[in-house]
Amino acid sequence: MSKKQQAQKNLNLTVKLTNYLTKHPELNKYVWGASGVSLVLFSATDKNLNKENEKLVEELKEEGKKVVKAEETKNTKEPWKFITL
Amino acid sequence: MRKRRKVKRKYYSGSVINELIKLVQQDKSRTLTVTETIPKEIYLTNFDKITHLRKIDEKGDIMEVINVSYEIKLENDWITIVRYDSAHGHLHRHTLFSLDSPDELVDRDRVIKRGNPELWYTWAIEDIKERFLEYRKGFTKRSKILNLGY
Repeated sequence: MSKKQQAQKNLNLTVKLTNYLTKHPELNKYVWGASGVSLVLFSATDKNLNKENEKLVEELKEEGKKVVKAEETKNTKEPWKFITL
Repeated sequence: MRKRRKVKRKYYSGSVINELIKLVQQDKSRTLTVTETIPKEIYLTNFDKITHLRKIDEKGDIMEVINVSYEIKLENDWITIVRYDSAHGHLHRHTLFSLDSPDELVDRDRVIKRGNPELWYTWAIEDIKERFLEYRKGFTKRSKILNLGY
């Protein structure tokens, strides 16, 4: 997958996530926490994208960043799951 | 000689103050605090990211878009090539001209004119989604960088 494709796909997920969080503002503090975090998104269906993003997570962790994984789910009641790494 | 204590001042833009006044008038028993969130990053690749910073109230509602930016990594440096803010009560765009020129073009061309900070925030992210390649192409071309910097 090219960087352009990865960026485009992650931007699609970013729009979905930000739309969800603006509808549920009470979740903002839990997702983002009090300190700065780096968010990497994971798709519910796109395995290739997730593989690339897993590599991205590893690189960020090596740089010493505090990473939070935002995983899209297939559950309409809870469309996103957040995991602090 | 008496030492002076340093006072950390917080400044809010006019639009935020107006919004706070409106909220207090609606419910006088309400205690209001505005939180300036720490910049948050969403990584798109190891060469692209979005950083955002907002002022939110105690409920988590967005009061002001301080920054929504698209950043690219060139030779180990992150460079903000386009950013949005609503500092003067409306959303506007700052576009970095090139690596050699720190000048920014500030405009509202094709930028949402109406709405509220919440809408502006989601609109800015949607705009970066639609036009990130255009912004990247423009910046790398003006900076004479090949292959879009990837």
